Amino acid sequence: MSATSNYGASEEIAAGQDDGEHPVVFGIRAIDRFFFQPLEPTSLGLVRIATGVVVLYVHLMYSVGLENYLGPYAWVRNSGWTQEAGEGGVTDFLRHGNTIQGPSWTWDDSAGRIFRGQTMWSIYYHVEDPFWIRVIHYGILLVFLLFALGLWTPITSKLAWIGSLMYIQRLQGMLFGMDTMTNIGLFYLMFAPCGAALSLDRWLQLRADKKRLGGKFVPAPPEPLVSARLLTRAIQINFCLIYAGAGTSKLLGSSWWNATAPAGFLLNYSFAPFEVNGYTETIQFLIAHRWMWEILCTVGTVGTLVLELGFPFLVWNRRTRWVMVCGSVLLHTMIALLMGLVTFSLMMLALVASFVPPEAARQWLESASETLRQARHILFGGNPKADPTPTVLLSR
Amino acid sequence: MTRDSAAPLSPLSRALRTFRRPWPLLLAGLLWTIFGLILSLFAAVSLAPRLLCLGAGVLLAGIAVSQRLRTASWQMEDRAESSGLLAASAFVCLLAFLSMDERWDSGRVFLGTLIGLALAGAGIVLLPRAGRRVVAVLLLLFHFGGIVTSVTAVPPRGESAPWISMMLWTYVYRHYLTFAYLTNAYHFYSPDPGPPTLLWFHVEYADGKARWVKIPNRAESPTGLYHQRMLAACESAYNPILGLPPMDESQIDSMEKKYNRKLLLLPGDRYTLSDTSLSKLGKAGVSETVLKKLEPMKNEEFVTKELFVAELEKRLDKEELADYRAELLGLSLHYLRHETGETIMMRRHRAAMLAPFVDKDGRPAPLKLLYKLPPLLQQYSEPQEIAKRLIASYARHIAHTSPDPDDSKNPVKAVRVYRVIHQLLTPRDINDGLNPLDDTTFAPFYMGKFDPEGHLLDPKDPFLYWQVPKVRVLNTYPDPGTYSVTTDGEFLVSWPASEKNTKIIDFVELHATQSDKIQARQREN
Repeated sequence: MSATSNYGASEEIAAGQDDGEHPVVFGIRAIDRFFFQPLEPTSLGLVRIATGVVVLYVHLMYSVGLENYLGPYAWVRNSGWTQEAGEGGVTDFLRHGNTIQGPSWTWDDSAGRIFRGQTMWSIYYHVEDPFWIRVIHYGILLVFLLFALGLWTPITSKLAWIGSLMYIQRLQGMLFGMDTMTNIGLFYLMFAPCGAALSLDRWLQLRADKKRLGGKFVPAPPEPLVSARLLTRAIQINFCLIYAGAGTSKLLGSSWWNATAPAGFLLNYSFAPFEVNGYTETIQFLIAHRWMWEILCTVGTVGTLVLELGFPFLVWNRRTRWVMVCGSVLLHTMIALLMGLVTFSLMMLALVASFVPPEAARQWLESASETLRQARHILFGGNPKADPTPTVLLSR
Repeated sequence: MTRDSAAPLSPLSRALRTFRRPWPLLLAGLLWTIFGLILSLFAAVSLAPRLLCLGAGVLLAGIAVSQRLRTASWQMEDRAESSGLLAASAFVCLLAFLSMDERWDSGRVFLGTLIGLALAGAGIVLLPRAGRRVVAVLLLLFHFGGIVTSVTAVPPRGESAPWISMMLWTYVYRHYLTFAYLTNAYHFYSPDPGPPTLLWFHVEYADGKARWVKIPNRAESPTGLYHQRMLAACESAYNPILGLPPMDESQIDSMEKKYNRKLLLLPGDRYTLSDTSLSKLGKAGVSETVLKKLEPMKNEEFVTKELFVAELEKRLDKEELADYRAELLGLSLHYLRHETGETIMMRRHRAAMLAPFVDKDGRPAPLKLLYKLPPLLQQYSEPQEIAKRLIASYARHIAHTSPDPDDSKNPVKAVRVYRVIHQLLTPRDINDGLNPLDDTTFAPFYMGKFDPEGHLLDPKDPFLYWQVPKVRVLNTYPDPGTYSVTTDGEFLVSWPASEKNTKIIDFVELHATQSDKIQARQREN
């Protein structure tokens, strides 16, 4: 069994079952294989590119009216809270004044300890001068760009997480699911060798090797790494927990039981694309034919529940993995189209890319670059067998 | 080795290569940090150069660690050196930590975490392979334990969250999860997808003009993402305490005792020279002359310290103010204790009778509570403290970013805020031809009138936090028979659109435009 070809968990665990091992040894070996068997980092490279592009776009959008988010008269007031006066900044209050009461160790609920303030941090708590806000903002945008391109990734990945969190912690009250997902993606990528494939780092390394070795140079796929496996697993497990949390909490809702929940999205004027030509007419047509509407809502409800509750279990099996991944892609495409949550959906797709086996990702990229090379040959002439394009180099 | 056969390097390249190695990098980081530390000893040096030095120092130390961990082997000797480098980088972070002012507390939080991570890393790299793997699995278990705690620590509707999850959240994971913003419970559109929340701001200018600013507004959003942010901002303001506050003082007393904090009406203070505070000032040694000068200010309420001091400056000499400033500020400050549910309810019923709103057709339009649907308690929607602060913050933002379109020099005087639930239509409603933007689909709640700095100006407004509906009534409202009379009082009846001889009264518009005049008239009387 090669190090990289065996990607799934259940097959790996099954591999040791016939050896007559002691169950404890078998368990330890299974855990070791699950978390530490070296893995080619190509999928992580894909996740990095997708995450980097989304994060760059999201933060670039802050540039439009930056002062509204971070300036002295921002939507969410920052400074000015004092213990004595009790008024003023929202984030100041969250950091120093907000109280939470822990549960009690006894049956007396009032005996729970009270804690004040939260462990939050951001440079934007301390900088409100518009000039320095711009300097820091554009510096962070540069970091995101380098991260997306995969340049100096071991450093830029950490700076990207720090930079992104500075906005998240400052903009409490204006956040939604997309911010949670970008944070999750950047959090794991910060520890992962996400620049070891599909990156400028990799391209520079190959170029240097080629220069040094000359004719002896043979490009090889990225080396499988233990850290790639560990962090890929972390992303995958977190993704499963997201689906499990979303699926199980829906079971408490009556609209998910009587299959009316999709109406909550499709007829929600603030989310659904009522401004798009034909949307209102389509909805009215479906409602006018009740059986069509009910089937649509039932399929939407059952599909969502089956996917969110089934994904955490079925994605680990090689035979059902692709069904789950494709279902997830479909679900998030629909969310993007019908609820306008485009960046959230893109970020979910970036995370689900961690389930794509690196061999498949590499084959797909190589075939895409081959198509590009042939297209270039048709359009501009030249030798189709000439040096591989940068795309090929990047993908290997 | 292949590298040995490479062409000889130039002196510059050799120098650069030296500074790509971990230890020289760390040394450079240490020097920058020490320089930042020295600068922090001089009060005259501005913050920016100090922070740049400290930032550069910590960044260089981080690069050194990253280089080392990527290039070093896992032989014991190399691991020991890596451990030393990590410990040295913790020292760099410690120096940066010590250079931070107390007011840069969040920088200290960040650097403190880096110190802990570097020291823990220094220990972990010394472990053999199996030990490192065990630690990695344990760290993952801890991390995902935190995620599961976030997911399960959200109380189901009307119930409490699992005790163990709450315990873990409070005593184990609170700092970790908030530090890394891993607090989301992933309960997307659960238990049921609800209606969206909107915010309407009635911006009033100094010359008496006014206009509405409504968010979110998809047509005016510069980007799709901005629209989503506005939706999120409105959603965060929808965080109501369920129902009315405790009905009597004894219940408020026991609630304050239970939570060990005052139950206040609003975040913030008020300054008033009441009889009590004037008498205390006399006992504190404030002269009779000064007290006489202050007499006209008696019982007047000032929403900020600045306004109070400005009024004192008008009435007292500089010396008098300087002599008694501390006593005046200290003894006049008071918090607005939350009123009882009974007081709030009585005031609301009284206002329904006494506030003479007039509809656009000239007929009186008394703003009674709605009959039965929605339930009475849902017609009062006081936000929790954090949501109150957010609403005040949004009002302040709107006041500073919504100039009079005709005269930019005309300043904003006040902003009234209405939080609006945009009720979702059912498929049956759509089939019956109802428009999703029909006036009656909006359920607005009055969130208060704020000055441009976000101070709540009318904490005793009888309609504060109450629903101020857009409702379809009979054309002859309020003639007898057009509203419901029960033993609990008089109630507005909402009629369906199909009913003839009806009209929609937009109480939001009436409330926003007529409240000040009504209050002024009532004060005169």
